[in-house]
Amino acid sequence: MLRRDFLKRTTLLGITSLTTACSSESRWKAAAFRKPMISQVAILKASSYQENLVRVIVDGIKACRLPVLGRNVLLKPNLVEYERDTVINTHPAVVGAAIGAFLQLGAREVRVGEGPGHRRDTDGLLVASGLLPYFKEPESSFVDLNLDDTKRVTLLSNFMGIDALYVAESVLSADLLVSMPKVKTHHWAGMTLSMKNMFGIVPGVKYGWPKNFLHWHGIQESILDINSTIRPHFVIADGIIGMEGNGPIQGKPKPCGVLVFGDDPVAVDSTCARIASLNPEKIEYLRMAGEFLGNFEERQIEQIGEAISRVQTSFEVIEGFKHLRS
Amino acid sequence: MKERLLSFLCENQNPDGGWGYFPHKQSALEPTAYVVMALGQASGHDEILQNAVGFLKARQTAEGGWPINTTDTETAVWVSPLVGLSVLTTSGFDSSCQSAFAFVLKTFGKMPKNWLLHLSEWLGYGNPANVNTNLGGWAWNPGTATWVEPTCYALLFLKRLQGKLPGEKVAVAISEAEAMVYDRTCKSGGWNYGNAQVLGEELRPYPLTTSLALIALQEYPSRIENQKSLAYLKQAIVVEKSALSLCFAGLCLDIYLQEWQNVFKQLDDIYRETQFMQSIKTAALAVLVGQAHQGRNILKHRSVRT
Repeated sequence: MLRRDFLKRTTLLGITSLTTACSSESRWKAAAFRKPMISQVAILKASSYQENLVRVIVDGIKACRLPVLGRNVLLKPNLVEYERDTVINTHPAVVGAAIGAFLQLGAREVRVGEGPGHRRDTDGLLVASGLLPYFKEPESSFVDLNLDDTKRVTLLSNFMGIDALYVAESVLSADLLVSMPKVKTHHWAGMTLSMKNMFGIVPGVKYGWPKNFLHWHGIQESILDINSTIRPHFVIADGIIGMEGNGPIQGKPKPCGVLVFGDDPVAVDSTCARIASLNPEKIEYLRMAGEFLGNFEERQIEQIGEAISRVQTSFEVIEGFKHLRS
Repeated sequence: MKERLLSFLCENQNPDGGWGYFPHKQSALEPTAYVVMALGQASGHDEILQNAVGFLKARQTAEGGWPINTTDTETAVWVSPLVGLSVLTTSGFDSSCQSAFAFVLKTFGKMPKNWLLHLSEWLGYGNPANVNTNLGGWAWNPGTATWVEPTCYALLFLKRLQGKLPGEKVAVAISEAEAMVYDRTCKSGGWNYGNAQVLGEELRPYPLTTSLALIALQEYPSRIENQKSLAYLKQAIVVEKSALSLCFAGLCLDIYLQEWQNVFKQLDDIYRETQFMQSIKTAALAVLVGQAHQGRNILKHRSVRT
């Protein structure tokens, strides 16, 4: 056991050193990315899913001054599995309210798209999760990104060690791509937020269920390459009730009472991590993304609405991620 | 319902002879394969069927397999046996099937291990999903892990060809892949995508993958895993809302000689309510379910072992 522990520790140390050594600009072309000087993130309170969430979301979009008028919007919630009394998915009330909010603000079209990572029966998932009633015409309001037309897209960074990925066409044709994650812990990545949520734009029909191709090339690496290439234009994170512990499926509900908004996914995700009392600098993909994709340091983020300290709560994490607390 | 679905399918054939997952979408191999199987067992659609089979054969790659759709530039491991099966059931065993057979056999393999997995096993931690990595099967993509669904498609195709082609290699691949699927059975019976547990936590099965695995393992109806999985499936589908899952469940229960009249009714109800959300694949499968109801289950093998 002692030998195993020693080897485990030295191996982890080796991996960390290796990762750090490789984290140079050779992984991305600096000229292709321009981080904003300051990113705005709005934290708005929402105590339950029964609240007037359309109003909260309209306020969040306006606070971030996101131009919506006449735009073709694709909302990308996190819809993975359905299990009674769990909080795996972005709550359907939040998705429904986002549809209403974007239409109210003058969007030309609002559609919802998701490519569930584990299951092929998206039709049943829509019913069981409670999302279906929010669509006036399900066949035109919802796109199964797993089965959508595909397009090969050249990656703008090189963490996975591949040149290109196939991506769902509806994602590429949207004027405004909105990532709508659930605020959750994740047993492989530490936390799953707006950037990890983008795994759903990669079609299962090409990469399978689960999207093991991405895991095979490294979860953190895949998150970085996908988001460097297809960056969500806006984020609405559902932290009304988040998930702690053994997420993203088997964790426990964690009431948090917030919706978090912003046009810099790195800044929004870092803020969500801080709300959960976890250190974003210790989440490898966030730290790396902070080098070229967006802002993750508190001094580079202008907080609108609630201060983090007023809504901060402590999320449980599994043993392997205890270090995120430091 | 069956006639309306057949009309829906015929009306939505793309000019290239294939079908997309939904109307007006680019032709994809999976939905086209199911439509071809459905039309092949229906009468009066000869021209449409001929164009569809032409589409499939024209898309076969030099490797012998098929891509996932008309923009994919690679040969897909998972969809190739499914397309091979549809060509086999409509055109018989021809050169196209022979090439597909070679491709499917070539893509059989054990789960590749990266250095981290090797290290983890060496340290005695095993792998996070606690699966037997020494059993071969099929992956979704070349060079990645093996999973239940692609392995089931390959099993269905190879078993249909057994006897037509000699070779101990086929028998070995089938036997090992069957063991691999059994190794992934959930504790309570049934299958999900292929991890019965992760990090020590039991994961739950899904009706769709359970049906598919039971269909692929139909020669062993008396095995305890089949029995437990069948019991799970019968219970799970009572509240199932997915037409796609119900279609596979219907085809499965028919093979196992179980009562499945309710599945037929549930499908009919969902169709009235949603028209299957215009899904070509579900429509084609529902036609196959109707044909199974009339005694022509295309996924049923002839020989059954116990």
